[in-house]
Amino acid sequence: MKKIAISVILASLLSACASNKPVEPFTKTEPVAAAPAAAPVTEAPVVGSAAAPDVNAQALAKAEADAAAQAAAKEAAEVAAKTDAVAPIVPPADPANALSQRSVHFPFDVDAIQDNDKPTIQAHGANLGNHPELKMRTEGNADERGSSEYNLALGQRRASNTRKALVLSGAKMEQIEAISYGEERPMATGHDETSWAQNRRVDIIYK
Amino acid sequence: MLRLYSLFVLLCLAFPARAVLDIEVTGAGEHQVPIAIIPFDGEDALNQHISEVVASDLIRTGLFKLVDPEGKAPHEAKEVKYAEWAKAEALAIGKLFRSADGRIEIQFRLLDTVKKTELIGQAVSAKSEQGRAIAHRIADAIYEKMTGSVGVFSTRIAYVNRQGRYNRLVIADSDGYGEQTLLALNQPIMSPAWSPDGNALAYVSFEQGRAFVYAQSLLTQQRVLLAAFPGSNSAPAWSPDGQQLAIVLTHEGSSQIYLVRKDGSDLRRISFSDTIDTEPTFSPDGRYLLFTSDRGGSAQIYRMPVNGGSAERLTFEGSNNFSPRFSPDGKSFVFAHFNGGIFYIAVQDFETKQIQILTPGGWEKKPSFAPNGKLVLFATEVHGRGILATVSSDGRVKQKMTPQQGDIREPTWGPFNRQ
Amino acid sequence: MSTLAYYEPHKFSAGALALVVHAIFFSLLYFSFNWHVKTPPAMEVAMWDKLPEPVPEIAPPPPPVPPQAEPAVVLKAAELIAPPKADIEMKEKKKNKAERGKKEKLAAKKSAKLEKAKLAEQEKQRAQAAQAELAKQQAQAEQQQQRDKQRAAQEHSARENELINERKAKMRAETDAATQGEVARYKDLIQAKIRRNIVMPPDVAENAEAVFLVIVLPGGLVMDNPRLLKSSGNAAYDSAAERAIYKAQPLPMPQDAALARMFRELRLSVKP
Repeated sequence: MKKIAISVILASLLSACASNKPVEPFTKTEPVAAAPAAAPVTEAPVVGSAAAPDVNAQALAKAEADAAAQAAAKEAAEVAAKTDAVAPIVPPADPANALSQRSVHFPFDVDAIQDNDKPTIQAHGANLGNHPELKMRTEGNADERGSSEYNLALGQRRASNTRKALVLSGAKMEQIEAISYGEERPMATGHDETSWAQNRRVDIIYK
Repeated sequence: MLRLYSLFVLLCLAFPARAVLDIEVTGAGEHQVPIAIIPFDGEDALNQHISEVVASDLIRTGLFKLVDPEGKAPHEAKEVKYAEWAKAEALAIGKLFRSADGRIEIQFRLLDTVKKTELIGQAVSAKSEQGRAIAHRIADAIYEKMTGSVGVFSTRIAYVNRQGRYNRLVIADSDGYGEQTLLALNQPIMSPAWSPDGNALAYVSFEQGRAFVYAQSLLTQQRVLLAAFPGSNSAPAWSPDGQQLAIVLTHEGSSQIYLVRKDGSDLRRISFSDTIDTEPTFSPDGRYLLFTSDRGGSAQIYRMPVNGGSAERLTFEGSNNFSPRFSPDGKSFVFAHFNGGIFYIAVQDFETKQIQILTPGGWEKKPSFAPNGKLVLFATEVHGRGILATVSSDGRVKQKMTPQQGDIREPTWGPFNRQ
Repeated sequence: MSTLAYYEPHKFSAGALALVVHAIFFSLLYFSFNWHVKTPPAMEVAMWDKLPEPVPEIAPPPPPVPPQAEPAVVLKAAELIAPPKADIEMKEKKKNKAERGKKEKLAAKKSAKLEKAKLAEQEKQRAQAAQAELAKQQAQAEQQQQRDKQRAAQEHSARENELINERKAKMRAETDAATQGEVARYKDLIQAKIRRNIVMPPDVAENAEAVFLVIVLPGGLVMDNPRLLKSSGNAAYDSAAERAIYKAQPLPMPQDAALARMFRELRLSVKP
C-alpha cells in the first residue's frame, strides 16, 4: 500500500519537476528469479505514468525522504537489504537507452566482459560517475556446468570484472559491491544452451 | 632286466611319496552372500521391526541376497537345524524383550550355516525409540563379519533440500530416515561440511544476501559466523583434528584458499594465484590439501601442502575435473569428471594415477566417501529431480534415494559415530 | 594339525613298506612266476584305437579280483589304473592271502604314483580311447590271469621276462598318459564345483591367493576342517573360500579306488 502511495506522490512530482537529466529507474529490490532483466515487473498504476519518461533520480530520492512516507522509506531500505523484496519501481522500457540494460552476458567458463556489452557498461559507469551518491551491486551467475563452488567463484569473477569495467567507465570502487550467486539462483532451469546462456550473466542492481 | 632294475631303483629312491594333488580354483560363482534373516521374536508385539531394517540395510549394499525362510522361524541357536538352511550361508535370528522401564533388549545371533558355527552372539539394550539405531548396529556387525569391512549403517549424511526458493539444510541417517532440518531459508544454502567428530556442521548460507560461512554445533545448535568478508565466503572444509578449517574468500581478488581457526580467528592465506582456487579438502593425515583450480586454463584438481607451497596438478583427462575428496585411507580421491558435456563420478589412485569412472554419467556431482571407504555418495538427477545416489568404490553396486518432495543437492557423508 | 598327524607316522612306515615290498617284488620277479607270461600277449594286442564306453568284458573277473571289482563295472578309471598297477596289484592279490593287502596297496599306490609322477611330465592328456583300450586290456589280462595261474607257476624263462618287462614299460607309459587325462578331468570337476560355490566379498585384491589343505574321505566328504596353509591376507576372502569348499561336498571323486586315492589329499589354491 505504501508503495502505491509513494508511486502516486512521485508521479505527481514527475509532472511538476521534469528535467532533461538522464534517467535511471529507482529499483528497490533484486529481481525475482523468473523476471527477465529487461522488463521488471511493474505495478499497474505506475505503468500509466510512463508518459513522462524522464525521471529525476535525485528528485525521487528527495521526495522519498521528504514524503510523509518516511517509515515507508525505512521499510523500503530494509526490504532492499533483504532478498525477498518488493517489485521495483518501473523503469522506462526503452531499448535505445543502454541504461535499461541491466545484465551482461558471458560465454561458457569465461569471465571477461564481452564486446557487445561494452555500451551497457559504459552507460552505467558514466551514470555512476555522474551520480556519486548512487550505489549498486553486481551479481554474478553461472550455468550449471561445473561444481556449485566453482560456479560461485566464476560468478564472483564475472561480477568483479563487471565492477572493474564500470570503474574504468567512470564509477568509483566504493559505489559498487560485487557478489555471486553461482548456479544457485538460475533464471532458466533447462539442461540446454538456451537456459545456460541466460544463466551466464551479471545483473546490475541499483541499491 | 636292466630296465626293470632301473625302474625299481627309481621307485626306491623316490619314497616316501607325498601324495598331495594340486588344484587351482579361480574366480567365483557369486558376489552376494545368501543370508536368511528371521523376524525377531517379539518384534511384532513391540512394533519394532528390527529385522526388517537389518534386512534392508544389508540388501542396499548389493552384497547380500535374502533367502526366504519358507516358514521356518527359529529364535534360538538350539532351534536351528542346519540341514534346513542349505540355500543360505548365514542365518540371523534374535529375540526382543521389553524391560519394566520401557527399554528394549535384543539378543541376536548370526550363524554360519555352512560351517555350522555361531559367528556373532550379542545382546543390546536401548530405549524403545532407538529401535532403528539398534537395527543399524546389528546390520553393521553382520556386514563386518561377512565382508571384512566396517559397516556404515550407523552413520549420517547431510544435504540441502530445495523446493523452488525454499532451501533446507538437512541431516539424516545414511538410509535417509530420521531427517532433521538444521536451517531453512528462502535463500540458497551450499557446501555442508561435517566436523571430524560429527558434532558440528559448517556450511554456506545466503541469508544475509550473499555467501557467508557458518559453523553450527549439532549439540547446542549455536552458530559461529566464520567468514563474512566482502564478496563471497564459501567452501568450508575441516582439518582432521577439527581445530581449523580451510575456506575460500574473494575479498582480495579472485577466489583463494585461506585457513582459519574454528572460532573464526587467525586467518591465513595459503593459495596465491590470480585465478580461481576453490573446494579445498584435507588429507586424512592433515598434511595436504586437494583443491580445484583453473590456473592451468581449465578447472582441474591440484594438491598442495597444507601450509602453502607449490601445487601439483593431478587430473589431466576430460574437459574439467571438480570437487575432490580424499578416500579415508588417503590412497585415492573421488571427484566429479566432466567430459563431453556429461558429469561422471570417478576415483583416481595417487600412486598409479589411474582413474576409474564409477558411474554411467549424467548430472552427477559432489561426491564424498563413506567413512569406511567402500561407498561414494553423490547428487544426481533422475527425471528432472535432484536425488541422492551411492555407488560402491569398485563401481559395481549402485543405489538411489529419491526424496518425497523437493530436489536434493550438495550431499556429504558424515564420520563414524563415536558413541 | 590332524593332517600332519596323518602324514608323519605313515611317511616312515610307508617308506619302509615300500622298500620291503620292492624287495619282495624284485625277488618274485627274479624267480619269476609264469603268470606274467600270459599277460603280454593280451597287452600286446593293439586294441587302443577307440574307446567303447561300456566294457562288458570286464564284468566276469570280479570275484577273484576284489580290489578291482567295483571299478571294473564303471569302466574308465579302473581301466586306466589297472595296467600300470597290473603287475603290482597282481602281486598284491597274492599277498592278500598272506593278509598284507592293505599295506602293499599303500606302497603300490605310492610307487605307482611315483612312476606316474616321473613319466607323466612328458605325457599329454589322453582321450577316452586310451581308457577303453586299457579297460579291454585289463579285462583280458585278468581273465588270462585266472586261467593261467597254474601254468604260470610252472613256466618261466628269462626271455619271457624280458618281453614282459618291455611290454610293462610300454604299457605303463601309455596308461600313465590315460591316467593323467582322468586325473585332469576330476581336478576340473572339483575346481568347478568349488568355484561356483564361492561368494566373492568386495574389494579382494587381484593377486590374492588362499591355499587350503583338505583331506577327502571316500565318497568326497571333507575330513575335519579345510586347513588354511596360506591366507590371502583378506580374512573375508579366506572365509568365503573355506565356505565354498564346505558347500562343494561331496567333492567329485573318481570311482576307481586307486585313482581316488590320488585325490585323498588336495592342496587347493583359491584365487579371485
